[in-house]
Amino acid sequence: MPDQVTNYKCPACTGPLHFVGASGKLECDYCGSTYEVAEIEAMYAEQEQKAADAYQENETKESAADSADGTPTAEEMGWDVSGVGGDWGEDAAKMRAYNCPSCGAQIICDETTAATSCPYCGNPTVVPGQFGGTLRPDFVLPFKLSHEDATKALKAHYKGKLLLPKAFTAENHIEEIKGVYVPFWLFDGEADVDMTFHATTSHTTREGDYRVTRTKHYDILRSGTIGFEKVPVDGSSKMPDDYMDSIEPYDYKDLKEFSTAYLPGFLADKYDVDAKAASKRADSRCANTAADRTRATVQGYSTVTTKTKRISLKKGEVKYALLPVWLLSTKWKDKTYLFAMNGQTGKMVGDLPADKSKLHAWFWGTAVGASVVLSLLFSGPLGRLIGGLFS
Amino acid sequence: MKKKWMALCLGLLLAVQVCFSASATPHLNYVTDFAGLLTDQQISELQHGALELSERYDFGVYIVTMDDFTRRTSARDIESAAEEVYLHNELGEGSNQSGLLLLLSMEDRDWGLFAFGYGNTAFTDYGKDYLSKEFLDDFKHDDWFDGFEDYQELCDQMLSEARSGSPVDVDHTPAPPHARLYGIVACTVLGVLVAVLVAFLLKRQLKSVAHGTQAEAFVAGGGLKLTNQHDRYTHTTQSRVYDPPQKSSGSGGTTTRSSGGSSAGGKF
Repeated sequence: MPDQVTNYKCPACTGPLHFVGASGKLECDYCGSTYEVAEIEAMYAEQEQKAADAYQENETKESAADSADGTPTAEEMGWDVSGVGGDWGEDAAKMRAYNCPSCGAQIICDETTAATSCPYCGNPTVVPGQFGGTLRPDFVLPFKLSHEDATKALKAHYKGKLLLPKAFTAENHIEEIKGVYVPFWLFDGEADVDMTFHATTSHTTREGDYRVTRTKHYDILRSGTIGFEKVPVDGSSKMPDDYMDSIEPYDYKDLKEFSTAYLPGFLADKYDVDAKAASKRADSRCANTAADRTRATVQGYSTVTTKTKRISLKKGEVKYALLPVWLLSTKWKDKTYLFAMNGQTGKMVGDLPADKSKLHAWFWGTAVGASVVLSLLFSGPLGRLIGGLFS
Repeated sequence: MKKKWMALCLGLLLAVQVCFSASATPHLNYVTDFAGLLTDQQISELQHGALELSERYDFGVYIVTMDDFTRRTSARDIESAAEEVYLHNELGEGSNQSGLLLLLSMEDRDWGLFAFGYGNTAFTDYGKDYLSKEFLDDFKHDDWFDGFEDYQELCDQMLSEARSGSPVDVDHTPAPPHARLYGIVACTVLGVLVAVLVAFLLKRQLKSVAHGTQAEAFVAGGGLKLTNQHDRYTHTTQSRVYDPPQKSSGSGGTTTRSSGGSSAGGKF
């Protein structure tokens, strides 16, 4: 049976190839040769097709019973296996096993994994079948930034955070760093907006002993359309949505037509949240922006209140793209901290812990300092004014 | 003969009575409560306060309450009544009879102030107005004792200001009582608010992950295209707030009466 996975090997020395963002080429770990993506793509087209076919064949067979292959089981051989492991239950259905073409070892991974590396020989491995047929992404945004860039960005992320515990940066070590092509849905669309507002302008004059305020009331109507292009929503349930939202935006000028040749050296997943489910988040974001932009056109009034709002979203094209994300995780005091970096722009996000003693010191220091300074400033005429307000 | 003597004695007694009623009780205490607004304990406390002021400033600070000033004095207005009570009873301290009298008449809720001697210096026209605001707040709510206490406290402060060479006047308003305490409380509260803001900003530095709620970065070229817009005027509403302009403070100083004293008065 042909392999379902592919290793991209250097035509010169058969060493493993991986994609390097800085050069935009595939490089050999051993001899240093570099190859254009298109070159390797052409070279491996046939092999990829075979791997994809093998994957599809396996998928259709998978529903059949996973019956014995004639090899006696451990139980049949007389071993007592009652204490070994347990039933994988539902997890088993979410796992896939592939054979590494380089070393023959079995690679167990998630059902959505499309690119990984062999845990035994370390060779980058791609599962082309995950991206076959209708599952094929339209675009891939190649990594521009490297592993080293991500490490540096994390250190920079710690800088200037006055409440960050010193021990966090000193004792904290990166547990894991991985570059992942995350599946994203890119939604195009248009919103038709109809909004009405109540607005007022006020003018105050003095008439004898009275202050007279005259308020003019207006009914405002605004209708319009606003288009949106490639609103991204991640299609992976494994990726935290808030992290993926926070590393936006990507510069789509660098989008390339999808090729698995960009994947070696990184992890990649296929989507497991379909476009229909993901579109709800895109719709909500587009509707909010459409309403805010419309509200912003009502100007020149003292107060503006929204009376009615009707936003109708016209669905446009949906594209499927793999976008580059560096994921870093660190552990401190038995708690794992996750960070994500946009693999194209370098925008790093991740929540950090606060040192409670530093927080207290800052709070009380500021409270006392500010009170003293204010007392000094307000003693004299200003103090009298405050006293007058309270008396 | 005996009857004549009795008639003469009665006549003299009546004459004294009339005279007494016309000129009020001579040599009043610092606190004289004809109207019965205060308890003995309160009178004693106020008496003690006035005595302290007298010792500190050699200045008499008096309080007199009456049911109706027209029955105890010959005056037609409250300011003249206060003047009459002060002068006929020879109030005041020192060679120039320095003092200040606050007279309340309950019939028509009148108040009057009369200053004499050094009182004309320490309590200018503006100063009397400034002083009256302090006790009128209490008297409006029939809170007599607190009003008299505020009166004595502010007299203390105004006499102190006058002694330092700057009596309260249009160009010199002292900090109100407890201003220092209020100032400290206000500065402390503001300091804590600043600290809360600083702590919030510092904690926010540590947070960089949030769900996206907008799609601003993905708006197609041209942005929002308005297809219909109108702003239609519907009506006008009007609100009126009573806010009289501040009265001109004038040129300051003290306006004296023919008696040499100065006065102020009104209703509470």
